[in-house]
Amino acid sequence: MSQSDERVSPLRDRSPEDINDDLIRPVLETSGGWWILTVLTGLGGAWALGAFIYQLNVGMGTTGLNNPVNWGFYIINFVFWVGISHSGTMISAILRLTKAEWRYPITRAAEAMTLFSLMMAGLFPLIHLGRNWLFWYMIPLPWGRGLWPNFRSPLLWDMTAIFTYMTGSSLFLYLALIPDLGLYRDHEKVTGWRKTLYKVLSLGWRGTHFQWRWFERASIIMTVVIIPVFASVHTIVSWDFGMTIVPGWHSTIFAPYFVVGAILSGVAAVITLMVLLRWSYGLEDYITREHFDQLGKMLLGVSLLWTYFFVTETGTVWFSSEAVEKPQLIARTIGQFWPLFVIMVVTNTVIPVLCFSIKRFRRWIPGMLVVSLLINVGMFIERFLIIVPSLAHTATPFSWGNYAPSWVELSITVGALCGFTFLYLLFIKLFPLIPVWEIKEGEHSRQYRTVGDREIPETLAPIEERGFPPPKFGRREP
Amino acid sequence: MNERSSSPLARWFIGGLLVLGGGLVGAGFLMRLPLGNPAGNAVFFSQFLFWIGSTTGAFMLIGALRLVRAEWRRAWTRPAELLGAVGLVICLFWPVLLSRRTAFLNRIDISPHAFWPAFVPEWGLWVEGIAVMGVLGMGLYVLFQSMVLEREWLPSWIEGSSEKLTEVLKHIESEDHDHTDPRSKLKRSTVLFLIVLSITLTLLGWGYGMNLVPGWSPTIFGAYYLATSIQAGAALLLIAGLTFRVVFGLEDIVTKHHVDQLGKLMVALALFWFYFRFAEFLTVWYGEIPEEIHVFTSQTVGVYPFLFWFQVGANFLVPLVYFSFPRLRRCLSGVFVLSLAILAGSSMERWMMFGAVHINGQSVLIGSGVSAGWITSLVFPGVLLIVIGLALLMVPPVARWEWEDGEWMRGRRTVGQDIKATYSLLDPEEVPRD
Repeated sequence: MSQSDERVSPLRDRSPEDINDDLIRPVLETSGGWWILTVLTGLGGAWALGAFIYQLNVGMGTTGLNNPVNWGFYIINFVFWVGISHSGTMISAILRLTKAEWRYPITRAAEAMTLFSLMMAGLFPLIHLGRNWLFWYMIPLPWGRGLWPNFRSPLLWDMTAIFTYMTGSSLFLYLALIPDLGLYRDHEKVTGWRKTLYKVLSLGWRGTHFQWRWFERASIIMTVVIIPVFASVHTIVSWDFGMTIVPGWHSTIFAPYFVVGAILSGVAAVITLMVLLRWSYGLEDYITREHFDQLGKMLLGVSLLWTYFFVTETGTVWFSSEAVEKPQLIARTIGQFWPLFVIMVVTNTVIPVLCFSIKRFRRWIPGMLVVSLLINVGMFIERFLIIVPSLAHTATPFSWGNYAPSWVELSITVGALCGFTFLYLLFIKLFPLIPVWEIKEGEHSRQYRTVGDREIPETLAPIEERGFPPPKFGRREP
Repeated sequence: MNERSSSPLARWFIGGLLVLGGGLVGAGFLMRLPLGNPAGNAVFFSQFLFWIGSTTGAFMLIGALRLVRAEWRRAWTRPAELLGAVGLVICLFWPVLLSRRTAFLNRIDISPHAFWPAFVPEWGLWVEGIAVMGVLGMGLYVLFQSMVLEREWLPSWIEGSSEKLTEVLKHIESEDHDHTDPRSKLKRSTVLFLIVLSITLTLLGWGYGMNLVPGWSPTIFGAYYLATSIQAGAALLLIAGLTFRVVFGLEDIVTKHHVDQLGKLMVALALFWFYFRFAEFLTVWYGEIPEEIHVFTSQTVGVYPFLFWFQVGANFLVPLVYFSFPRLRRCLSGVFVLSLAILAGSSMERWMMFGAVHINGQSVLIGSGVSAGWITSLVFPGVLLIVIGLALLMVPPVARWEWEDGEWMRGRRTVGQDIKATYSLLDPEEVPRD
């Protein structure tokens, strides 16, 4: 298919009913592959749960954590999953605010990703606690001993940030689901418990003008509210590190650096997911190469921004050459961790910038899948390189140490990935993963945009690339 | 719009000339003054950084808006280009700054006795030099591309005195063998220009961040200087655009809609200002390193509390509240006054960031007081007025090519987000028929 063919919407000949049927198919039809994947990820999650119970029974000594490196894979996972959760708001809220119309098929998948990754992220500080039964100390309850939680503790900040973001994200996801739930409640193929579920959750949605108007207002309010929350979450996570005077952590740039890193990993994860969904459910007409092209452009910008912050942070530390900062920087870049450092730079900067600068690559879906996976590998390593070398090379050389994760930590890490996938697979079976009403809205506005007597898919391509360049100077009528 | 009014231009020109003259006298005084430790040439330097940052920030803002195809940018393109030209002239003041450190000049000389220049010991000189060259090179190139697109209208604006200029522009375009549309070329060069300018402004910030002076070592400095320069640039753009509106009668070009859109952006920029400032200050405060805390308290509650809290009000609180209301965003006089306040806040912030820190930063024993002289402060506003006045003798205050393109696009984008019609796809019965 040529690029000019692709710019014509593949949905132009489909009726609204066809679109309804297409998008409910993944919900109603269950393939063998879905069962296999669900069982496997469920087993993975169960294995991780077993590992956690073992840790609870034996104690934290079963992990690789020890002085001086007492933050390890659990905190790395925590930061990583909070980062992934930034995809939903970035894609949905910010692109909605900027009226980027190409976002339509991607929003719900990204919002669901936000919710499930936050669930995974929220588990890790609890797992890391050691004495897990005391987690409720973080909740501000004026309880019998008269003690309030320690407001200076990052644990409390994290809990507050995550619960706020999770509440906001759940509402954001649910709000955008309501029109689709109303639609499928009345769909002829939906029967039994699903119908009841949709009936309850759709809150009596009839699609009246009045309801749409209020829906639009609520969406705008939620969009505006969720963006500061989104920025604050990873900022607070970064302050877990920045507020200390551990070498390599006491850095004022950490807040924006973490937020940009989170967006990078989150958008890359969205690309991975969109490729897999497209292949699994035959959604080629809904998730087109144009969408990958736009996501690729976005990732190119974010990757450059991440590189900018990374160079700024590392460069300032390097140049100031402070005695307490140097050992961790050397260990991280040219010392014992140099292979990880090289992988991180290559996967987060070199590969994305080179690949996403090329339009043909951005439209090559297998390539996009591979690069998006590589970015997340790089981002996981980045979190490792922030946490471990700094703790392993503190200000006093006689207490330097090292760290390697134990099988328990690795099991729980893999288990988190399985748990996330498991929840996502369940979500696919319950709710339409592509927002039907947004797709229709996009199609509608696209159909009406014409140049002369020709129909132009204006949403998807810059006007000068469609064979209708603006007239040259001097040839235009005044 | 083609009818050029000479009297306002003459006023701009004469006013600018006077201010520039006064400023140059001030600069001369400054160079003669025996400013010793610890202040150095803090006043002049912080002014240099403020003006080069804000003028270049305005130029960058328009580049970014062009890339995201914000249609409303078109009214602001020419004021931004003129401010970009001001930034280029301010770059030329770098040797004046350097002359305060003439003893170091040989350090950046690639001469046989020291073939490889001393990058590390005189890093500050190098980054400033690279930054200034970057701004000059890229700025000139992008301005030139814009002028190529404008050449059709230049003769009518300059009334026959610019045949040579238009001939040059035409000639250079005809030499372009790849037959690329100038618009595409401008768009592509905008990407490069944004990257280069981001790096160069960061380098200017790094001129301070790369040392151990308390208050100057935060890793956020480069990014912070870049972000706050863009905020000051947006305020400067509003001031310039609204002034052009009155002076040249551009009510139909720079409309309330354009001001409204830029006002929305100001909300985001105010939040950015707060985010970066808060991140820096909270990290410093929580880290509680004594010498850093000394600078922190001197800025917030010690020597400069007025300047600090004025900044917080002018750069964050007031813009955030004011620009959040659509009716206030469309009140042009209010926007103008607030833009001036933002600019004043940014100027104070540069002084606090680069000057005040230096004076009060290193040791309480060598702290001293230096205030910004009025003459020194007027050098760069004078440059701004005179450059814009001179430039307007050659180019119209509106980018005609941008405007015409916008009209062409608007003529064909008639159906926007018609939400009522959209809903008909879901429930045709509910569409109101009004």
